[in-house]
Amino acid sequence: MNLEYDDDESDLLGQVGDLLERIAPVPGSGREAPPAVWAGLVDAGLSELGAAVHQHELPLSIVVDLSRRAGRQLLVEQFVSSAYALPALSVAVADEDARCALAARLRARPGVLLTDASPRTVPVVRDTVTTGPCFGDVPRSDLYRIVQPGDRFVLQRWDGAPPVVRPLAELSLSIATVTVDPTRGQWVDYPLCADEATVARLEAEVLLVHSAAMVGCAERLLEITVDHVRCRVQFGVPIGSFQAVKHGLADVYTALVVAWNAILSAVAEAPEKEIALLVARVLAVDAALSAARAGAQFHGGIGYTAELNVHLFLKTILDGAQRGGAPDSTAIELGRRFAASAC
Amino acid sequence: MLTLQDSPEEAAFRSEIRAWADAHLPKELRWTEDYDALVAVDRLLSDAGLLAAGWPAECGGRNLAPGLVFILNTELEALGVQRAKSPSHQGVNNFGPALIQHGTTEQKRRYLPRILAVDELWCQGFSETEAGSDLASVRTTARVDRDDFIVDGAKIWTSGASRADWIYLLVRTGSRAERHRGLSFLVAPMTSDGIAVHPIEQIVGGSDFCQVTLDEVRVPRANLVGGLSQGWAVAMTLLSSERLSGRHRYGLFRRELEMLAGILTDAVGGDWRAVASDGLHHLGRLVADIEGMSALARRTESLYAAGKDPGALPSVNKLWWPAAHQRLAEAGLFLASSSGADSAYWYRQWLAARPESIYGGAAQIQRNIIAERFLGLPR
Repeated sequence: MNLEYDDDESDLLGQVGDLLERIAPVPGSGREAPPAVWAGLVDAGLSELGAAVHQHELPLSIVVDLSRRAGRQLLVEQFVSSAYALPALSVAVADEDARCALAARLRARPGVLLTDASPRTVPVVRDTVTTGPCFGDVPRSDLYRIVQPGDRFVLQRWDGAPPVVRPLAELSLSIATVTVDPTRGQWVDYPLCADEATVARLEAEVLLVHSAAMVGCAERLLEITVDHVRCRVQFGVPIGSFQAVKHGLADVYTALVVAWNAILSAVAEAPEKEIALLVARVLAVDAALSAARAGAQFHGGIGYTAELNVHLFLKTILDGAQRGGAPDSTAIELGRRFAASAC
Repeated sequence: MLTLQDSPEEAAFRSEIRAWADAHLPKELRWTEDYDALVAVDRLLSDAGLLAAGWPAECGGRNLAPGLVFILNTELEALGVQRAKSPSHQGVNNFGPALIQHGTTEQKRRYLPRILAVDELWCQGFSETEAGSDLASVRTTARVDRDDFIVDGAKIWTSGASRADWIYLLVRTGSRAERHRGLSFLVAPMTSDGIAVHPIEQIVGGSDFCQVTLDEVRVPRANLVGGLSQGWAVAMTLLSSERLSGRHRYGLFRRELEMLAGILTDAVGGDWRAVASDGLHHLGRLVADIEGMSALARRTESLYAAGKDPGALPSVNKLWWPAAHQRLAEAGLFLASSSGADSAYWYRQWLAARPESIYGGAAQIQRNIIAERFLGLPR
C-alpha cells in the first residue's frame, strides 16, 4: 500500500500548481475566468492530460492532484471536460488522420459535451438529441456529443451555425442549455474504438478528476474564509477566536481531508471499483457544499456582495455538485451497490 | 505509484494472520464482549507474538513496520478481535508505547514483559472531576517525601480499574499556576495502600467505569516516568496513540453496515432490489462515512510508513470516526425498530457509541486543535 507521491512527483505537482496560478489567477470578482486560460493551458502542455493518461504516459493519480490544484483556481469544468474527457476520447478515435485533426482542434478551442437527462459525466445521447445542458465555458467552446448508433461509440462535433446558449440558471457560471439547429449545420463524426467498458472507465475517471477539482475549489474557499475570520473584528476580537466559528471551519476542514483521502484511495484502488468511486464522490460533494455553506455564513454580509470573489466559489461548487447526478442520487446508487455486495 | 495492493511481504503477513486465526482463534472468541473471553484472546495473541507486534524487538515486539501493524490490526478487527475492547489495550496500545519512548531501561525491563504476557493489566488515571478535556488542570498532587511521592486526589472515568493491576497517573508536582509544566507521570500498583476503586454504574449496564481515590498513596520515585514535571510530554505521546486507535475499528463498523443492509433487505422480503430509495440513501451515506474513515486510516498509515508527519490526520480521524459510528448506530436503531427487527443490539450501540466522541480528546478539543494548529485561527 502506498498513498504518497514520491519526491519527483511532488516537485512536479508543486511546479505545475504554481503555473496554474499564473495561467488562471482567481479573479477578484466578476463572473468568469479570463478567456486566455485555455491558451495558457495549451502552452503549458496541460490541455491533453486525458490523452496522456490513456496513452499510459501519465498516471491518473497525477492528474487528480493537478485537478485539485486547478480547482483552487476555479478551473473546474474546462479542466475536466476540455483537458481530460475530450482528449481521452480523442485517443480512441479509430482513424489516425481524424484523430490528429481532432487533437489539433481541441488544442485550438476547448470543448463541452452535450448531455441529456442522464447524470453521467461522459454522457451517451441519442442521435436525435440536439439540445441539452452542458458544463463548462459554453459560449467559448466547441460543442461535442457522444452517440451510439450500433455497438460502437461515435464522438461528434457540431459544425454549423453557433448554438443557442441559454444559462440553465441565470446566475450559474458554467451550466448552460445548448440548442443547435440541425438544418443549419452538421455533426462531424469521429468513430471511436471504444466499448462499454472503456466508456465506463473513462466516466469513472472523469468523476474522480471532477471530484478532486471540487475539493480543491472548496479548500481555496476555506482558506479565504479563514483569512476573513482572522481579520474581521467584532466585540473587540477577531471572529475566528469564537468557538462557534472555529468549530464550523474545523468541520469543513475535516470533511475536505476525508474527501481528498477517499479520492486518493479510489484512484489507488482502480477507479472502476464502483463503491470506492461513489464513496469519493459523495464525500467530495458533501465537503464542497459544507465549505460553500460555511464560506457564505462566516463572511456575513460582505459575502453576499459581488465585491468579493466568494460568490465565484459558491457558484462553482453549486454548479459542480450537479455533475454526475444530484448528491442524493449518488448516495442512493452507493447504497444500492453496497446492498448488492452485502446481501 | 499510488496503490492499495499489498507488497509481497504484506501479502505474506496478511496470510499469516488469517492462517493463525483459522488455527487458533475459535469462533466463540470472535466478536465477544465477555471479559474473560477477551483476556483469553489477548493471551492467544501474546502466545503468537501478535499482541504488540509493532513494539521494538528489544522491548519484546516484532519491530513490525507501521504498514504491517496496520494490516495486523485491521485483519484482526475483521476477524472479530476488537482491540479497543481488549483488557490489555491500555498497556499495549497506550502505556507501552509511551514507556518505550520516555521510560528508563529499568522501567521498560520491569513493565513491558508483563504487559506482553498479559500478566499485568493497566488502567488510566488521567481525568478528574475538574480536569476532563482541560487535562492540564489536574489537581491530584504528588509531593516528594525522601525517595517516594505521596499522592493525594481522585481520578474518574477510569475504565477497567476494578480489574487492573496497575494504574498510570498524571499528577501535579508543581504549582497549579504552572498548568501542564507542573505535571508528572507516575505508575502505581492498584494494591497500593490508599488506592480505592469505586465502580460507577454505566448507561449500558455494568460498572467497568470507576472513580479511583488516592489517599496518601506512597509511590517510589523509581515509578516516575519521564522526569519530574515532565509528565505532559509522556501524556501527549500516550494520547496520540489513543487518538489513532479508533482507526482499526473499521472491521466492526463494516460488519454493522452489512447488518444494516440485511435489515433493509429482510424488511422487503429478502430482495435488496426492492429496498426503497430513502433506505438506500441512508445506507449510501453511512457507507461513505465509514469508507471515508477507512481511507483516512490507510492514508495515515501510508504517511507513517513513508516517515512523514501525519499533521492533522490524528485529530481529523478522532473527529470523524466517532461521529460516523454514532450516525451508523442511530440509523441501525431506528431502521431495526421500525422494521420489526431485533433492535437490542442497536439500542446498546447507540448508547455505547456516545463516549467515543469524548474519550481520547473530546470532539470539541479536536476541533480546537484543528482550528488553532492547522487553520491558524486565534485562541
